[in-house]
Amino acid sequence: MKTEHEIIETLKIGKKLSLFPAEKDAIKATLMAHANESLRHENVRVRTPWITWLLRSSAAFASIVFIAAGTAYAAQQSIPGETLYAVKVHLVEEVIALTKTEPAERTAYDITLMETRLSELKSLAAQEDVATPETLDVVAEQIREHADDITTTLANTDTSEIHHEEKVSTLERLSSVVRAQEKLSKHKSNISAITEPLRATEERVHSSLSTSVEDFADEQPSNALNNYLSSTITEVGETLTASSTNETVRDAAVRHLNDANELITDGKAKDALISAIEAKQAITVDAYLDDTERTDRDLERTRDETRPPRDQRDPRKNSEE
Amino acid sequence: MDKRLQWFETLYDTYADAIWRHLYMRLGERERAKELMQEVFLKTWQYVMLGKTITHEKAFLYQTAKNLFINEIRTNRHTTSLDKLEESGAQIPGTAEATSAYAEHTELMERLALLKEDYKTVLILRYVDDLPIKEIAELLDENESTISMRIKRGIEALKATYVTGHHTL
Repeated sequence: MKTEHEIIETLKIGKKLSLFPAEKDAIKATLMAHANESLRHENVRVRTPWITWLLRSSAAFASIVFIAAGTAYAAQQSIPGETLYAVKVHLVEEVIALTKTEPAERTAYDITLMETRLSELKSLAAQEDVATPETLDVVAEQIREHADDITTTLANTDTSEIHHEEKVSTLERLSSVVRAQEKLSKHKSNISAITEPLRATEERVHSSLSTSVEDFADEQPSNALNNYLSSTITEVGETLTASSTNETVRDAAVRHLNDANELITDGKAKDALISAIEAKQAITVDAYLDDTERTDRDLERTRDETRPPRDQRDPRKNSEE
Repeated sequence: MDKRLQWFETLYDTYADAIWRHLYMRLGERERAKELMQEVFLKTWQYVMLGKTITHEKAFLYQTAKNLFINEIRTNRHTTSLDKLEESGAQIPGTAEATSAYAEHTELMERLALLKEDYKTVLILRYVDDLPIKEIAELLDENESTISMRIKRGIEALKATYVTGHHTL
């Protein structure tokens, strides 16, 4: 019987593995050629007469770039309703989006924008005032656009570029973010006006997700779907074991997992996958909102600490209590 | 030479073998591990070309390798079998004494293939890639005690393969 030390020494044999020098050099040559080519493209400039004029006024040009950079930086911290928010969504984010040329990169970026919108909703929700209808309309519109961009890109991209598993995984994540946004708006009265548009967006996303699962089941060999189903169930099981999910969420996830297992027994792998995704989403949505609940508890504690003792309060307010 | 290019060349020279080795031990396929290793460095270059800064190079490379590996197994392009392992086994270049080392390595790969993915991952990261537990925990987004426990169980599972010939944990 091998000892622990012998096992570890056996594992360390792996350290001796390496590429042949010729292999390593060949890959290096390919990478360096690619890097050189991308630098060459970076150095090409197309000048129009007005840019040439601007470049001649180098001090003015440098100032504009400096101010623009500073504005862009400040804009990134802004939330809906603030002056620079329009710069953030219509300039900064769109410029970054232009650099994402591959469909997979673009959808990944759009997902991060959705998560940014969720953070912004949390900031709005944390304020005492009711967010104006105009502000909420802007956010709802942004969320709708991002969601439509993602679902359209995935629908129009061939599976040779984005595989079925990635499509399903991306749509599942998108659906979780929108559900978290919807749940937050139901929970917070000062942003509740956005609930209905978010519900509509979530329905469209869920429909795309269902379609994507159908396409996956129809076009791929059954073991691919089964493998994805198996890894989803395993992931949910491990998350439930390892994390401190609240009881309601845990119960919901377990219920969906049980549904999935029954459907597997009935030979309905596609429907089982939908149930497994529901289980995963129960946990993911809770995780997205977890910060909000913690913030609420902190705010509640702060209010209690700053509230004057009963005998020092305004008697008129006391009578209302 | 552009400074980014110099930096990139040094990065490759320093970490290419380590990243390939990590991917090979997880995939069991030499050629596919080479392709993914190349992709790791390509993505790193693309990230830098977007103007972003990488503060922890090693962590970034391993994170990228991890993401590509997950993508690989999810898209089911990766299948393992003991036959494939034997076909695509890495050769340890060197002298005649490498023959017994090669036999040891083949046996190691076969036994690792019997383990649960979680155990295999942490054992490779700890004892082949030499990452400390703290870095492994950050890479896998787990806490340190979970990783320590997983390593311990992984060693037990690997030990068990010598007794029964298969993974019992």
